[in-house]
Amino acid sequence: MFIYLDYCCNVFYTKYELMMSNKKHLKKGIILIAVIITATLSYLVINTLDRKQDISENLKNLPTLKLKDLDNNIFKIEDIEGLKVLVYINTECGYCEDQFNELSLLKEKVNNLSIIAISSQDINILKKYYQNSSFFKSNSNFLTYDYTYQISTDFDIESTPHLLIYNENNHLISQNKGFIKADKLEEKIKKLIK
Amino acid sequence: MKLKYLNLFLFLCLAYLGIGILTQELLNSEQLLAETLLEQFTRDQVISVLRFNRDWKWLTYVLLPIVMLLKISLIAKIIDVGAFFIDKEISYKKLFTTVLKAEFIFLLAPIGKLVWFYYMQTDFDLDDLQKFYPLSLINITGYENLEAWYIYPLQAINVFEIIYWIILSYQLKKLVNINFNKSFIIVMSSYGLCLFIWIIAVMFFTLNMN
Repeated sequence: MFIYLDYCCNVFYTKYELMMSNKKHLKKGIILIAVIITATLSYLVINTLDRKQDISENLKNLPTLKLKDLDNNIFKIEDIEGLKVLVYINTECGYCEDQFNELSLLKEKVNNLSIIAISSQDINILKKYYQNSSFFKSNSNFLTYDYTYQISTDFDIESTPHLLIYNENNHLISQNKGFIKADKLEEKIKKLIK
Repeated sequence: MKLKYLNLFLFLCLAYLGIGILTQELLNSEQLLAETLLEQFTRDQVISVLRFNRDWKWLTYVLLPIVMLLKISLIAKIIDVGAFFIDKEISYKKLFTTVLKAEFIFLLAPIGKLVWFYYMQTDFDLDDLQKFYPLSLINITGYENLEAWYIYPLQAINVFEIIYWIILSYQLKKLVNINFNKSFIIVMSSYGLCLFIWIIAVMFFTLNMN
């Protein structure tokens, strides 16, 4: 095996030396690499921009999300009336827990508000979390799970908590990536409702 | 001779560190960070962030010379490739020292920033401190309500960058004994192209993070 490796190295080195001695080919090679890198990166940037714009358009009105509640029944967000805060969570995320505290405060200040937490975790983990959580014992606070595991990819959700706030007509009021305090949320909701 | 350039490199690193520390002290950037974070996060979360920053501050001091060395080495190699295209051979050591000397122009940017916020725009917030870049395109377009992925490209196009190109071209002209126009074309086509690629790469990563 070592003899074969040695042979491969010799072949590679000979070809490398030949290439280096032929400057014209090397120059063409460098230009080609530069063009390929530039074109690839430009394509990736444009593609990502387009994808983000599409997602943004899709989120303007409440999208049809494939969710189930913890009893494994289909959960339809569209059936919920009033303001809706969709919050994408992970039960192990400390900031998500803090976010629920802030959302509790928000509910004291804003009327007719429902909180729908969405997670892609296993339903058994969510059931255990639900048992230990006082937040979801309240009416109009729902814990659901994304049974297709597609929501985070489809809507470009890369971190938790991720909040989407929809008004009574299911139009997007605001989106927030990460934790946000109750008074900031209240400010956003009241400003945009006016 | 070697010691002279080592001293120059160390002086550059120390200058950046010194300006950074001076900026933190004079502009109270930590307090500013705390105030900004308190608007968005709870007190405990903010304390945790500040503690983390303080604990890992030493890493900045360690990484800075490494990053500077990598940057200067890479730019020197890129210009070496540019010179290769016109069939000129330049010693890498000379190119390295050329780029090292030219790097000093970028010290004016953080100094300019410090002077601006200390004497002129004294009422500033963290957003201003992060996004402002003296004598750059971002000062013309403004940065309020600007998408995050636009920030770096607009900051990167600045007067210091142009002066840097001129200094590199002038130094290269003396090294290789060619006219200024030709040396500028070498710098533009090698370093300029790579800078463009770098900016697009940063844009791509910023887009994906937001």
